Amino acid sequence: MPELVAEPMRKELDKAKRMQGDMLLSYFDALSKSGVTGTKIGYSFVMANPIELLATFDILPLFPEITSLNISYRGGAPPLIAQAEEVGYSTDACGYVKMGVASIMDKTKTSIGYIPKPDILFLSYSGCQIYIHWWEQYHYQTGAPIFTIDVPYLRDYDRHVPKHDIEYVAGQLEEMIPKLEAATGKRFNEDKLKEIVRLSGKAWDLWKECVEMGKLKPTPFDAYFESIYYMAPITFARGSQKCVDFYKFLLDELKLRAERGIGPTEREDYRLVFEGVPNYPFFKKFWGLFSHYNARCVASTYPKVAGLVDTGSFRLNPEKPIESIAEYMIHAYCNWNMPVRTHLIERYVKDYRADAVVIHSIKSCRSFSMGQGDIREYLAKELDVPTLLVESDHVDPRYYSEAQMKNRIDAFFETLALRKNRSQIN
Amino acid sequence: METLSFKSSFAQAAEDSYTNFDTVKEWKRETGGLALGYFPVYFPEELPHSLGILPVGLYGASGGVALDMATAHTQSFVCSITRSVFQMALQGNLDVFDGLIFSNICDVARNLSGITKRNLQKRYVDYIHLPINNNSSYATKYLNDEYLRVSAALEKLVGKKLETRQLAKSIRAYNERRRLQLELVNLRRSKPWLLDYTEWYSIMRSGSIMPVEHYVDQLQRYVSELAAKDAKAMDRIRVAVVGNFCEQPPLMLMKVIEDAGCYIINDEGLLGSRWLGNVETKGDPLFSLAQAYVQNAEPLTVRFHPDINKQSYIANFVRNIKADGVIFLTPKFCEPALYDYMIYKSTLDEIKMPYLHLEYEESSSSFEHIRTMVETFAESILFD
Repeated sequence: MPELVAEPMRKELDKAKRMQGDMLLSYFDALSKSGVTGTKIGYSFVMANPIELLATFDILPLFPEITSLNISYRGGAPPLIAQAEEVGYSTDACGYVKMGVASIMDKTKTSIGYIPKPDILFLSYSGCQIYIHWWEQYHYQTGAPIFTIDVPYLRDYDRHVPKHDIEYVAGQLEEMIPKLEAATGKRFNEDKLKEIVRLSGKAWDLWKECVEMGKLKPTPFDAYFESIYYMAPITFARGSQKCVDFYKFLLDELKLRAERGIGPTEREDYRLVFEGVPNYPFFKKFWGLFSHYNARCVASTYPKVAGLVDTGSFRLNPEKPIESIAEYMIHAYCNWNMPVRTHLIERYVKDYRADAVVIHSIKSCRSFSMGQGDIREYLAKELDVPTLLVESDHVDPRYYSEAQMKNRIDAFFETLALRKNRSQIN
Repeated sequence: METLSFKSSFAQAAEDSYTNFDTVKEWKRETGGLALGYFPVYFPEELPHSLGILPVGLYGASGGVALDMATAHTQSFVCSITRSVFQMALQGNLDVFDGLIFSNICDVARNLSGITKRNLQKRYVDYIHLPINNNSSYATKYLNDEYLRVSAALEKLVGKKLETRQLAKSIRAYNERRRLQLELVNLRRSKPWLLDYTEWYSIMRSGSIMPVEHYVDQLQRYVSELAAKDAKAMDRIRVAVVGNFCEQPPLMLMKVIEDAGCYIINDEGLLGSRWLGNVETKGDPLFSLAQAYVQNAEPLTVRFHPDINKQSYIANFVRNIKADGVIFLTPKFCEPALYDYMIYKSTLDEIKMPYLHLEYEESSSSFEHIRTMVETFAESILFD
């Protein structure tokens, strides 16, 4: 059994992860103290949240997706899932929903501490239908009001967004301002919003530069397994100077790695594109199954759930804060239709000079996973791109079979090796 | 749309709506018109109808096709209706349709629209994003614009322009269908012994495929005859079935529920065809159609409405229809139904209304354990 840990990097060039961890800890700390500080907690989604508007009113967003994945990463998912299933939630329901609901049941302490209940539920309906149902569960569980922003799905196959979609989203954001004033007792400050939007835009620009470092050969970072750490601040800290500083630091670190030829594996033997949500309970083991083959991920879709930063689809503009937030909200990865998603992966394979695609399909999230078989069919059969599709779950360890997963991945790399040898001979 | 010469019984038309769509083929031969298949739950059929296009609901093959091709493209944890409709798209059963259209009922249906488009590239495949922020002052305008977008695509498909007068006429035709179906709903609630579920279902399902004028004509006669009918009531409990709004349960399963001692006084089968109620036809009919959707405050599991309180709704609903119990009949892997079940059941617990939760797939064929469960459920209520 090979060592399943991918950490050959020198510690001095792997500091951004720690920095992200510290930011996350202080964010969790602020959440846990909200009862004392009187800060309003606004439950929000990772995809398409108008965090800039919330921050203008000093509302602290809580992302149950982020708390749940962190609980799961620290092995704390099973008791919460069991608690939810005991009261009637189905094994077929999303693990995030079950964990979220259970984590605020009375006297529940999670592996990251107590999770505060919501004061407001911000329903940004973009890319995931279960968002609606999840927030309804919370609404009936806690009585917190739901503030809705309906974000139309990208329906056009050439990525065109109809004008009425943007007007609709922007109109709803405008309508939400008086509601936020009433809920917080604070007056809307447009200058404050513009400044937050400006900082947000800077962070997006830097994050874009970071993700595009994967185009270098060899890539200085793993654009899937390491991005899982790097992608968090763009969601929970966006709109702050701290967030900008983090992405500056990360970009510098990645540039230094590139200069010195250092990366997350000893060598770069394979360049992969990754599609799908990771497996958090076995995250490092799962990563190890790829790093063992000196495979590095050069581009991935999952870090784009917070915003399709590298597609030129949106740009936050302080002069048009509401409209640009509306545009951003439409371009969350799962809010794109399947053919457009598929073509993005195809583009990644070409632009990032990848050898293969790996799809990790998870039972919990039909939004991400339904139809990934079709992506595989297209890539493998029509483009001749080696594509592996494996299934498990992002939080529920019951759906992960390590031996089976390892067999599939080993077999895939055997095929890739043969293919590589053949192409070298030819 | 002209009333057609051919006569198709409800049962025959319903049978055609699973895999062969012969009723559609015959209609196309006779009229030379186009047909549009729509995925449940709700679709504004008036839009294609006003352009002379026949709208047809795609409610699944119910075990009528093998799912080998669909399985390669979809995950094992998605519902059966998705896989059977996709299988039919791939193997040609849906070739009779000149276009296919989907809407935002769930993530699975949404992604189904995309993979259908990728595999049927030359076909018109569209997707309507129906609004969920229905108390926003922007919602109706948005939906009006969305209907205009879809209408423009349909106009291109059929090569003619949508006319306001024609659209108003279509709305009136569908208003009549909804009115008659709701009349039948009420009749079933008051005298459930007048028709069994199989008969009820064939009437509802045939409405998803038959040309509306022909259907309304037959339904009108049927409802008057049924209202005049007399039959003896049996000693059964009155149950409301909740959860079968999209994927359709096998008819045998519904018969098992009836035979186990239940009158199904209400269920959500084909709910989308009657849910909208009456639509105003004065003024701008397209706007009225959008407004009717936005303002409708009757819950639909797949559609969020900020003003609806599902807990008080279910409590009032079961009281009003005089239900003795509720059977939650949820399709395997159907998350929307599973979440509403959690909301509704907590209220039923509070008001002490008995309920039972059963799961099904459209192709399920063994129901012995369900029979035992429903018998126990019915007896516990009858002898309480």
